[in-house]
Amino acid sequence: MRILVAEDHPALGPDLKKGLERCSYVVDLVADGEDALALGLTTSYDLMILDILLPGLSGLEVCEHLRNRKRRMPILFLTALGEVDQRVRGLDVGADDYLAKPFDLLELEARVRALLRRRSEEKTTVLHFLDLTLDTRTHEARRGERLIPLSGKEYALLEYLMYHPRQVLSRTLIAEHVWDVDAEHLSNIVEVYIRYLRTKLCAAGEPNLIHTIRGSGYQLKEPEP
Amino acid sequence: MKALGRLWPLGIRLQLMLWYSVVFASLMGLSGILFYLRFQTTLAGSLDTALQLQAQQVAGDITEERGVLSIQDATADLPGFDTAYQRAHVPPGDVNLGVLVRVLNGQGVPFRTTPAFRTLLVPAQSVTQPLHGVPWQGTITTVDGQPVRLYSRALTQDGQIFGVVQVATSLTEVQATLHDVLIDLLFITPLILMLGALVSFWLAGRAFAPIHRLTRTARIIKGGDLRQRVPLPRAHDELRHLAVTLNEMIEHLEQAFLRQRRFVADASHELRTPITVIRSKAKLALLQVFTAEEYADVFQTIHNEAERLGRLISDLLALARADDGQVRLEEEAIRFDLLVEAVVGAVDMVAAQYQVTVEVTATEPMRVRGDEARLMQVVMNLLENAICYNNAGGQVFVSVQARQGQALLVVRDMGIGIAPEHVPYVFDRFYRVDPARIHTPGGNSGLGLSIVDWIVKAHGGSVTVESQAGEGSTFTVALLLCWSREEGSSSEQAPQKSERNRK
Repeated sequence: MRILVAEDHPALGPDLKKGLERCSYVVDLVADGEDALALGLTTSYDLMILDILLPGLSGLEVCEHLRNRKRRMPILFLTALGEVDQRVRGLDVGADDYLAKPFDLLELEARVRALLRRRSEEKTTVLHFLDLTLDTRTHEARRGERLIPLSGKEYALLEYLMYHPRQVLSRTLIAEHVWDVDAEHLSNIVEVYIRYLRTKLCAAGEPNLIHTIRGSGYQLKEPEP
Repeated sequence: MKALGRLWPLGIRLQLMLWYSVVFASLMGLSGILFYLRFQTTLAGSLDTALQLQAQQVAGDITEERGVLSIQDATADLPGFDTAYQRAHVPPGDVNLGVLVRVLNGQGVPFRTTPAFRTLLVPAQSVTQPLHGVPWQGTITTVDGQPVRLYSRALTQDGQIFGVVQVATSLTEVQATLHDVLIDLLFITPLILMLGALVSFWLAGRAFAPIHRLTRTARIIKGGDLRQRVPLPRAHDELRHLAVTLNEMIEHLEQAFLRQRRFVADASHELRTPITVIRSKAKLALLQVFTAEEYADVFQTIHNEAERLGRLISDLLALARADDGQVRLEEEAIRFDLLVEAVVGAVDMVAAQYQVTVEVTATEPMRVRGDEARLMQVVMNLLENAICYNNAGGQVFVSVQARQGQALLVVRDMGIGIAPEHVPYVFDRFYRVDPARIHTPGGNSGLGLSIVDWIVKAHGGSVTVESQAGEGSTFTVALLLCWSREEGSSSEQAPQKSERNRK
């Protein structure tokens, strides 16, 4: 899951990035509104976290522009402006959530999880696909009862697949959501990670769930008979 | 006030001038004081010697016979050198003009006195001490306060003291001389100092002239002319060192500038090619009516070219960010042999497409420390390169071995190889041995090996190539082995990192 954080505070921005990366999210950090808008228009983020008082464009303007251009990713305002009318205004320009500073990082993480599952059918922290479960809070993956140890990247990849079950996901799309802007060009090694993941998911002889669709990409779906 | 503000802080030229002047002033002050003291003692010494000589001369002219003193020769002719009782009739003389001599008998009673001597305030000791055989010497004053140097010694005959001779000379003249010298010193020193300051200001200016020349050249270069070089001073000094360093810097800048220009030219060429294809295909499809299959073919081509473009842009972006030093690499212990095997497994589709087989000839367990995804890309790019430039039905051999603390990855192909004149440039961006190969399906961006080079270097390793045209190429990547088993500890990421090693 790839998240854009627009925060101009020199310490808070990197802290947010580090905190979210610890949860295996991929985070691009920008410090002004124009950069946030440019990236938001060109990259399909899974979530945007915007400060309102940003240099360049304000967070509200960024949000408005994105919504006018039909960008529908969840947007969360993270701002010191906590008055009721300010919250109302933020939510009315098209944001999905509003968190006033000071905030607790644990609460932010929980809201991020909630926003990410908004479009999914799952409404708890645990994602299910057949006998495969993934806890987005504890990062535990299980096949039936068997616990599957995953590296950070493998977790991120599996989480992205499980949020989009049965969809054919191209390598570029996967790379965009699993790697940050520095590593987007790594799309040609998605196959390597898919293989790692497949091996781990089928380690006890279970049927394969991640299918390669030739020329298109990958798909999480029921095992072929 | 304003002018002072401009001067402060002092420029280096003024600073140098001030420092020179301070040093110069202290040296001059010190030497002036030494000179003056030395001059004073020399004058006093020669005066005393003269007095002693004179006393000796006078003493030689005086004899005693049965208690009566008599004076002969020149001494007897001294003007006004009379018996004591005559003194009332002759007025006392000026100490600066007359001769100052007095002779006393064995009882200390004056026998003869010159008129000028009578104005002196003579201490009693100057008579009693010589009577006991010890000469007396000292500075006394006249009644009107003028300083006078007095020397007294005993008159002896056959070892018997029979009187005292006293000679004196005025110090006024000596003191006037010393005073004149002091005045001269006090006048001349500031003059010389001012002159010195001016000269040192001028010298400092001269010393900075080469720096001004450097600055002028640097200004021209700033104007955009990187072919300029600053002139080298002939002497092998600090300035030459500075000029050489500047020239080296300009050389580097020029090189970087040229590389950048070539890179931009190459990049725009590479970008233009797929766009031309897309444009012409689309135009064609718009101009005439195609069958569904023909349209599918057009769209497939456009899609392929768009993919190429996308990959090219990502690669360009990656290298640009790497050049900026913005890219942060992960650091974790990685089972390199397993990584290579996994990547080999992942290229089978591409290999099948080119009818090339990839074979792992040797591996042994080993760990390296680095960024897993990027090391995968190194292996992937080398493999893709070996596959794309192979002959149909060809083979690629891969081995991973530990040698002398290094992990050696060798990728050998049996393809077309690289002519010797191209070998040094294969890691350059967009360098293509064969420009006709630009359209290899699979979309090699021409940046793959540059990215390999960058990633390996960022890991502190090295990558080399050996090639024989027509027989294939061998790429060797050397990375530092990591012996510790603390995998995962360096990682700030999820705890899952600790199960990095899979089997």
